[in-house]
Amino acid sequence: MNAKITAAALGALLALVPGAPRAQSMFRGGPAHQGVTSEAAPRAFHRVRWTFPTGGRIVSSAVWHDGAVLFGSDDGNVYAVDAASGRQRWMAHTGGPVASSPAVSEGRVFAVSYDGRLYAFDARSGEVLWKFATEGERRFEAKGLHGLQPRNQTYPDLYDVFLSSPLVVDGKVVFGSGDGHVYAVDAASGRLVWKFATGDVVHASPAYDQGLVVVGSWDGRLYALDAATGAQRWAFQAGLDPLIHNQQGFQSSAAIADGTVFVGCRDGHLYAIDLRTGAPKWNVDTEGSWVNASPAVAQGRVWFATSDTAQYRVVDAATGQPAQAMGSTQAYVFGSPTIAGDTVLLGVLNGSLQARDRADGRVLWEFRTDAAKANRGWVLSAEGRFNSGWLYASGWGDQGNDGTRRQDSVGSFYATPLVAGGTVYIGSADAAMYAIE
Amino acid sequence: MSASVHRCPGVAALVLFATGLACAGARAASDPAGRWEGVADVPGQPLRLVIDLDRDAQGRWAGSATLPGRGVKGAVVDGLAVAACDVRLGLAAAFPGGDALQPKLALTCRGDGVLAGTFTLGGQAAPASLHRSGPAQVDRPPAGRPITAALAGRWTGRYELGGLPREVTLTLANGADGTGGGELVIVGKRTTTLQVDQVTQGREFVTLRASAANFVIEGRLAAQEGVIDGAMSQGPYEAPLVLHRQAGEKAS
Repeated sequence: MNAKITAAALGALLALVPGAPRAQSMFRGGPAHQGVTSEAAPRAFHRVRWTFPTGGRIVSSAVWHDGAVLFGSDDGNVYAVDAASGRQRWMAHTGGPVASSPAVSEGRVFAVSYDGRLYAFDARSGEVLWKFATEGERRFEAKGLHGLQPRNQTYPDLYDVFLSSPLVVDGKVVFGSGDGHVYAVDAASGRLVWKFATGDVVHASPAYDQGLVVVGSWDGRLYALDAATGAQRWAFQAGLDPLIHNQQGFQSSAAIADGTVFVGCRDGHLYAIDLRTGAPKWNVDTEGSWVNASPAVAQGRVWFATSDTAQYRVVDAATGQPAQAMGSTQAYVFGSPTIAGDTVLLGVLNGSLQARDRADGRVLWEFRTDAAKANRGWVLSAEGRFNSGWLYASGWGDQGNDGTRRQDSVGSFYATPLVAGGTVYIGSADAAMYAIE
Repeated sequence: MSASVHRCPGVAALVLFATGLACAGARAASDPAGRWEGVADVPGQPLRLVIDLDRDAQGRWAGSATLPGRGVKGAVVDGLAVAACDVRLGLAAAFPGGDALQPKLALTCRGDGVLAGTFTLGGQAAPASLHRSGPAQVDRPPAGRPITAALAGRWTGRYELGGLPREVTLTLANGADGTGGGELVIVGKRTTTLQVDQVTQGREFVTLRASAANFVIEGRLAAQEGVIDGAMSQGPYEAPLVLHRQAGEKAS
């Protein structure tokens, strides 16, 4: 009994020690991408402690290292910002937008840039240690994409917002590329260990468990690769959409728990797949709504959200059956839910960060960016939904893309919240990193 | 007056304290040091601005500009002049072709603690208004650092761009100020000489920049082998480039 009390007291004490190690050094918290942290999130909104302005949209989800939040920006920089003060510790420049999360391991920060390179920086100074060049980045693209016209024109997908967040495992940095490959690079030297060719852009982040790297491609397949060699162990074929390419591709990164892979797909499903064999276990049909966010998994439940239908859903991990009443996020969700203690945090493209009760899904509090409140150009309806019929005047080429860009003007949250020390850190399309408590 | 002070020291202390606070408040309102955020009201396209202004250890003013949404973070401001509560600065580094556009801010402290004035660019003018949002966080250009003997010296190499070969000769040394720099001679159809004004030598990784031409060479330095294995880039163009220490030169 006494030993138990002592252990509990020690645990509580450790949790209070500033700078105590927190396993949130890569996208979704760790290699299995479960999106769960033991850190407690605020149960009520108190204030914005600080904001840190950058030059570009932030879709990168922040990670934690040594009292700093690390993230990328579409302005081409990777930032380390002191979590307590909001002051910049260092800024490291790359040649393109840094549209994914950095990963930190053994004093090195790894980040992928739209310049087609994986960078390794010194975690203390931001000094470049090495760069690794892929064959080059690109967005997913297709003829007549999403029904845009003229239909024989090839369009880049402006909703392909993320790059692949690097995974660090067994001394290797594993990431996907717009050149269609999954790469494994030696973390110390930056030399290529292996690469694996898929059929299209890979912008999901690889997840890892039991010696397997699992990652989806825009070719509509989810791949399991041997982490040591890159050899394919299995591939799961999801839906394809040869007509307008709208209902295909893995943008969502997989989460792995208890031998099951959980992953969303643009074909309008959340899939549960056996990690060892690749056999499907169950799926949730979202009736055509993209599942771009990565699911979170904890204690036998799976949390995910949808894009167009703005659904907040919690299902049983064993069966896929609803475990909670479906909620509405009001607008598209691309960012992934973070489970922080008894709270679920979720960024929404309408410029709101929502905190929900983990047990019943009710909204505890909501933070909205100033741009969302101002709602210039009536991007949002009075209820906070996108005024799509107003934004998308026409499906002809550039006019359609213009609507997509206008959506961002409300400070969309594409990123996934990071929780540390009772504070929520999340970047916005308004170019600012927010510390909210 | 003095009698009343003697009679009522508590009140006098309060008055002095309040006066002190008021003075400090006035100083804070009129001191342009800090982070200023706001908007230049360009018709149809408001320009968001974050301007950091601060004095260095010698009391000289320094500033940097961040333009959220335009991809600019911490651009060095030029022509910074601060006189009492008037601030004048240029933003040439924050815009492509900035020298020709001549973007400038002319601002004055208002009574309500706002810096307000005019943003000009390309001969147009728009009202600008910025509020203080916190202490200054000026992004200063990285200070030059000395290079080691392993990097100093003469290097030669060759790259191809657009099917045309270019021969490169790079000469690096520490200057009178103790920081690394040098000269880059590129011989293709014609001969171009560039000043290498920024040298960053890490543990292995080396970056050499000729800022005036936006020409960059970077790669891994293998000191024993006398090789820099990397690439050149100029804007979106890049090509592999391996530099060899010229025969007869040795790293000491």
